[in-house]
Amino acid sequence: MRRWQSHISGLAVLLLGLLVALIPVSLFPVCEAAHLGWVIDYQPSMRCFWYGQTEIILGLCVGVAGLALILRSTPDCRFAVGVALLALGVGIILVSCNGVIGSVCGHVNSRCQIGTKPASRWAGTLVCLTGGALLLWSLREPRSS
Amino acid sequence: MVTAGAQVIMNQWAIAMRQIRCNPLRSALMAVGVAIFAGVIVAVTLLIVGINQSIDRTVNQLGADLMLIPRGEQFSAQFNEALISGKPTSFYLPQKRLPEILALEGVGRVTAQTYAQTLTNARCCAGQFFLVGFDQASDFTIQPWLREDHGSWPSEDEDWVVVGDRILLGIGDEVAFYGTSFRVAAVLNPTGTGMDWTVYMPHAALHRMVARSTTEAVTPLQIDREQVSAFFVRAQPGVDLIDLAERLEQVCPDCQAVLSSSVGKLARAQLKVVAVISFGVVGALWIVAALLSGVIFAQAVRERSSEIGLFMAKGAKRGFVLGMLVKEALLIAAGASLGGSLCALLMVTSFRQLLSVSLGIPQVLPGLAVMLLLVCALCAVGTLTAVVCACLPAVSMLRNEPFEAIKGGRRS
Repeated sequence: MRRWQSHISGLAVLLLGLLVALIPVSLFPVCEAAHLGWVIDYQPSMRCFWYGQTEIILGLCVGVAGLALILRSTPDCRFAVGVALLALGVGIILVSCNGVIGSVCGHVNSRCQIGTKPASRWAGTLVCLTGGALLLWSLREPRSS
Repeated sequence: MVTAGAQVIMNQWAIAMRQIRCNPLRSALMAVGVAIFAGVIVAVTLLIVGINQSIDRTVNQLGADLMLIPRGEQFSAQFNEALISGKPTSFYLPQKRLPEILALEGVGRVTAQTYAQTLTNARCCAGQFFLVGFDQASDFTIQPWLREDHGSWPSEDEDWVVVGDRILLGIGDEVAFYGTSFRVAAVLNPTGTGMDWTVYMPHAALHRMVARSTTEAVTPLQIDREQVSAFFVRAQPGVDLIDLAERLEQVCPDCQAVLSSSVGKLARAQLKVVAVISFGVVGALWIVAALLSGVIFAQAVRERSSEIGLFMAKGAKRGFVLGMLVKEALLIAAGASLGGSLCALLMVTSFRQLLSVSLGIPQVLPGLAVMLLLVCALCAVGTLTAVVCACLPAVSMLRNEPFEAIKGGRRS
């Protein structure tokens, strides 16, 4: 893979990470996320708030992986980023399916249930596909001994 | 043993596959154009068909042949929205007309409903709720939809409600509206209509809530005991409904009669603009996808004109070469159409509830059989469009003599 191709794929992964992080913040905001914060005295245990925070952290991790791809364009780095993206994608999907943490509340028609969770699942699938593609690409490349 | 004909076809498929593998960018560009077109057309068609089916379902499940509501265009629009999407509304007409309506020839059964809407953020959950007071004795619109496990009705002296399937409450739950606490006595089966989003209570309980709201609620509710919102009329069998509607409007001059069939017409008229714009976008995409396929394939054929000329010079018939090109276009278009359609199907299915809430339609997708049939038919349309547009430049190239084709289409 040429350097510019690696940079473009890194930029795409960075944008994908931002997309994942923006879903619970502005694209499909989780309930009352805007009224809660890390520094306020009263911290209600809204599940969707923590779900949103988890998705933001996972999205930022995807973004960091994209940055790594831009800064270091070697086959080994692409392999590592591919594996990391696969793991992060699976994580994003599991979180949005209540598989890892409690995810969101039981209101089946709330915005988090009908908007945020499906969007996160799609974004997670995209992250997995990107990771898989990077992994295959890096495996085809000759390694320097 | 493979026959000569089968061998030729296998060769054509093999050459087509090789061409796709050798030109990944060109194949991918054409595939992306076709996939986007197929995806958009599948999504839009599924939504339009689903919404139409939802409206039909609502009309068929009303239980009444016609409804009487206050006169005025705005009331018929509000009433329509309330029936189809359960959007809260409130309008009133005098109840004193009921005996005259019942006495009219051709009228079978009549029941009255009174509408109110909750304040935002009721105690149970966020959002506004559509509250409907109903007459327990004469009702024929709600009771057929009750779940089997509801048990016997509580007395009219108690404060109880019946909730639609999409209201997140179960039998025995407590819920408060305007400062009055109600017990959920029954839950309705899913109807796929606005009833799923509605809270029903007996008229007696509704008026007790109105009386208490002056002291218990943030904003008092004002509904006169002598007022109702709509009369639901079931006609006797064989009665001309238009004639009955006219006679009902004579008996009740401040009312307008709404035929159940016109509920569907009005809802469709409201959605017509959205449908026209959506199909306009699909049409534009269709043209773009067809042009894209044509241009990309024309370029590919021009690049390969020498190769095609050599094939013909070696004795390959024009039909063979055309078949090879058709198969290449078919492989790309069929794969892209299928992929785009399946992606659109998954996307619409994932966001169906969001679309349902945004559009105010209880069910936005048609049944599984209709969905699969539509996806197959639209995949075929997408594939056929791309193949026809891709092969038109190939046909004109094949009119050349082999020598001209080898020289890249230039005449000597």
